[in-house]
Amino acid sequence: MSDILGLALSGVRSTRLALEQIADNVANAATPGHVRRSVQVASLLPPASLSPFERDRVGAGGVEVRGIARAADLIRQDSLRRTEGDVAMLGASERWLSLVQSSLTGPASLAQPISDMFAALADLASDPTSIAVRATFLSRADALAERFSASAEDLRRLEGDLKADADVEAMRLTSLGRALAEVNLQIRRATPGSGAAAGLADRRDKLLGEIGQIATIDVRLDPRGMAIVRVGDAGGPLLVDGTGSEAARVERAPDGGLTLRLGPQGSDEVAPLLGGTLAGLSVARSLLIEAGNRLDALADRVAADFNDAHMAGADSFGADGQPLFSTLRVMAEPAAGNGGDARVFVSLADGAAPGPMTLAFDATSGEWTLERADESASVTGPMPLALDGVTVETAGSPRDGDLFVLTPRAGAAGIALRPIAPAEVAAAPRWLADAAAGNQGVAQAEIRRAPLLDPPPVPPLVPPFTVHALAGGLLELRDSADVVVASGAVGDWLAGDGFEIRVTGEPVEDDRFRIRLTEAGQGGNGNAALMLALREARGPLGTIEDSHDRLVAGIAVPLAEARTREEAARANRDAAAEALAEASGVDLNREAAEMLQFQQAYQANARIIQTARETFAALLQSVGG
Amino acid sequence: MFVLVNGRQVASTAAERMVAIESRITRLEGRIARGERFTEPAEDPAGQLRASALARLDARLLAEQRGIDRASGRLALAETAVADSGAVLIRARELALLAANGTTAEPDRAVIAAEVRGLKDQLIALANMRDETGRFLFAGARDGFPAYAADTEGRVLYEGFGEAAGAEAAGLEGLGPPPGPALFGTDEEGAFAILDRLLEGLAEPDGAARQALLESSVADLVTAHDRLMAGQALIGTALARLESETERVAAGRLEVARGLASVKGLDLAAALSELEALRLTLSASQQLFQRVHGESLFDRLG
Repeated sequence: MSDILGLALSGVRSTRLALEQIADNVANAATPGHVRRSVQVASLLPPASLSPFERDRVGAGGVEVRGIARAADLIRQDSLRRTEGDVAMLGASERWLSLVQSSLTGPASLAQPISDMFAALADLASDPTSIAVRATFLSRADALAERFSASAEDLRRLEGDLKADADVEAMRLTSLGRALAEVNLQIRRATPGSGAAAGLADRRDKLLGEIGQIATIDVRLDPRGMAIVRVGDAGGPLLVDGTGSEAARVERAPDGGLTLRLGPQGSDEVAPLLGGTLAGLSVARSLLIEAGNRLDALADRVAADFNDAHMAGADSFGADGQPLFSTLRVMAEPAAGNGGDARVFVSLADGAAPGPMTLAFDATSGEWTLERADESASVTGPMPLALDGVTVETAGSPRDGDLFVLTPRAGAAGIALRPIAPAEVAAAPRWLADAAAGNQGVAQAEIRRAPLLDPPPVPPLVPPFTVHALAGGLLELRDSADVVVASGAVGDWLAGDGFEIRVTGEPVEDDRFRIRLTEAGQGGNGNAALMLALREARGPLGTIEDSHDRLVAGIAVPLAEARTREEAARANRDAAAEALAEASGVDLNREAAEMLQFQQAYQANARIIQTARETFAALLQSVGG
Repeated sequence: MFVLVNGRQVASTAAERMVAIESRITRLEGRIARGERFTEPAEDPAGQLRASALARLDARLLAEQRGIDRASGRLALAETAVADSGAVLIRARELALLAANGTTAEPDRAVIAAEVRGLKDQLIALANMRDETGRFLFAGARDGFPAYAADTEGRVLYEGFGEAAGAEAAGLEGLGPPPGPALFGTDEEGAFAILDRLLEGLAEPDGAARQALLESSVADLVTAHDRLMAGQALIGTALARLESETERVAAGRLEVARGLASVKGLDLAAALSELEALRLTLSASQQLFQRVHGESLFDRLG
C-alpha cells in the first residue's frame, strides 16, 4: 500500500515542479533572453530484491525529476548574435554618418557660400569700382571662410565625440567580459540541470548577445557550459577564457578607422573589427577623417587659387593685390584640469608661422608664460603676451597652474579672410594694354601678369612699354627709351618686366600697342573676371564646386548604402529573432496546454493518494473490526 | 466564431516593423511638406549631385543676368550720349555751312563761334558721360578719370586706356561702351580737333583761308558724324546681343527649373498614394497584432 502512496507522491512532486516551471515560463514570457524551460522526468525502476531469497517485487518505481531542460538552440543563438551585430554596426555607421552629413549639408553646406562668392565676383566684374559691391564680395569671402572653419570645427568635434563613444563601447566590452567571466564561475559551481544552472545559462547567453552587439565574437562552450569568447573569429584574441577576462580599449588607427586592442598594455593584441558597434564606428571614423581631408584640400585650393588670382591684380590705389585669405589660425584649448574660468583670445600676425605653444598661469607671481611646445623660447609677464607672431590676451579669473594648449591649424580650420578694405580689392588687372588710336590694322593686345625679368635688365627698363608692329608680322616690345625688350611674331607671348603681352589679329607695319601699369583710380574689371574664371578652373578633382560635390557625395553615398544595408540587416535580424523565439521562446498556448495536462496529472496523482488512503483506511477498519 | 490565438512572444520584432513603417511615414510627410523628392543627400546621392549642379547653374545664370542688365544699362547710357553727340555735330555742320556762306558777316561769325564753343563744351561733357556709379563711359578701363581733358593750349585729348568693362560677368567679351577714339576719333583728327579747326576758320581774317578751313570742317564734320553713327550702330548691335543673351538666360533658367522639378520635384499624387498605403499598412499591422497577440489559450480556459 505504501508503494502506491510513494508512486503517487512522486507523480505529485514532478507535476508540481512542472507546473512551477510553466508558471516561471509564463512569468518570464516577456523577459528578454529567457529561454523556455521544462522539467525533465524519467520513470523510476522498482526497487531491487532485498536478498537472494526474496522474490522480485511486482510493481513500479514512480517518476523522478532529472533536471530542468532549457530549449536552447545554439546555432540560432549564434545566427541572431551575428545579425544583431550587423544591425549594430550599420546603425552606428548610419548614426554618425548622418551627423557628418548634417555638418556638411543643409544650413551648414558650403555650396551656398561658394555660389554666393562667385555671384559677388560676377557683380564685381560688372561694377568693379563700386564700394558696395566690393564690400559685398569681401563679406561673401568672409562667410565662405567662416563656413569652412565652422565645418572643420564640427568635424573635429564629431571625431572627438565618436572616439568618446568608441571608448564607452570598449569599456562596456570590458565590463561585459568581466560579468561573463563571473557568470562562468557561477556556472562552474552550479549543479548541472538545476534551475540555478538554467538561469545562469540565460544570463550567459544574454551577455553574449550584448557583447556580440559591440564586436563580432566567436563563442565556444565547455562541457559545463562556460563560455570561451574570442573577438573577431576563431583566431582572434581572447576576451573571456573561462573565469578570466581581458580589458579592451580602442585607439585611433593611422588609416582613419579604429583599432580594438585586448589585454594588458604592452602585451595586448589587435582584435579584428568584423561587425558590431565598434566596426560601425570605425567605418564612420574613416569616412569622417576622409571628409575632413577633402574639406581641408578644398579650403587649401580655394585659398591658393583666390590668393594667386587676387595678387595678380591691382587695387583702387594702384597697389598690387594682397593675399585674400590667411591659411593658419591658432586655436587655444584649455587643459582638462583647469580650475579657473579664464578665456584666451589669440591673434596671429600677418605671415606668421608659429609652432605649437602652451600658456600657463602662475598665481604666485600673477603672471602668464607663453612658451613654445619644444621649450626653446618663452615670454613671461602680464597680458598681452606675444611670441612668434602670436599675441595672446585673456579674460576671466585663472587659477594657479591653469594651462592652455595653443595649436596652429591649417586647412579648413585655418582659412580666414585677411583684413582687407573694400578699396583694396584687386578687381583691376595689374597691367593694361590697348591698340593705339591711329592703328590701321585690325589687331588686339592681350596682357597678363608674369614674373619680373631675371636677371634684372641693366640699365633698368623705363616704362611705359609699347609693342611696335614691323613688316612681315613681326613685333618688338620696347620701353620708353626705345630699348627692345623682346621680339617675336603675331600670336607669340612677348615677355616684359613683370608682364607678358600677345598681339593677335592682323596688325600692319607701324601699328602700336600701348602698355600701362594700372594706376590709382584706374578701373577695369580684368582681375575680377580672372577670379570669376576660377569657377571654371579644373583641378585634379574638377572645379571647386565639383570638389564640394565630391565631398558631400563621399558621405552621402556610404550613408545611403548603410541605410539600405541596415534595412536588410534588420530584416535578417527579425527573421533570426523569430526563428530563435520559435525554438526557445515561450508560447503561451503551449504553456496553457501543458498546464492543463500537468494539472490533470496532478489531480490524478492526488486522487490515487486519496484512493490509497481510503483503501488503507478500509483495511485498518476490517482488521480492527 | 473563428478566433486567432497566438501565444508566441514576438512582440518586439512586430513592434520594430511597425516603427519602421512609422519612420517611413515621417520621412514621406517631410518630403510632402517640402515638395521635394529627397530632403537630404543620402536619400538620393545621384539626384542630389544633379540638383546641386542645376542649382549652381541657376545661380550662375542669375548672376549673368545681373551682369547683362548692368552692361545693357551702361550701353543704353552710351547710346544716348552718342546720339546727343551726333546732334551736336549736325548742329556744328549747319553752323559751318552758315559761316561758309559768303553773305555771313564778321559779327555773325562771332556769334557762330560762340555757339560752336558751346557745342564743343557740350561734346566734351557728352564724351565724359558717367554711368550711375560715376564711371566715365568712354574712358576704357581707366574709367575712374574723365575720358577727355583739355591741355594747356585748349586741345582736347583722350585720357582713357584699354577696354571698358562690359558683360564679362556673363562670359561675354567686348560688349562694353566703345573707348572714346572709336566714337570721337583721334586727338589729331577727331571731332574735337575738327571743332577747333572750325573755330580757327571762324576767327580767320583772310577770306580765302577762312573759306578753305570752313569747307574742310564741313567735310570733316560729316566724317566725324559718320564715325559716331557707326559707333552708335556698334552700341546698338551690342545691345541687341545682350537682349538675345537675356533670352538665352531666361530660356536657360526655365530649363533649369524644369530640370530641378524633374530631379527633385515630388510627384504629389504618387507621394500621397504612398502615404495612404503606408498608413493603411500601419493600421492593418496594429489591428492584426492586437488580434493575433491579444489573446492566448489562457483567455479561453474556463
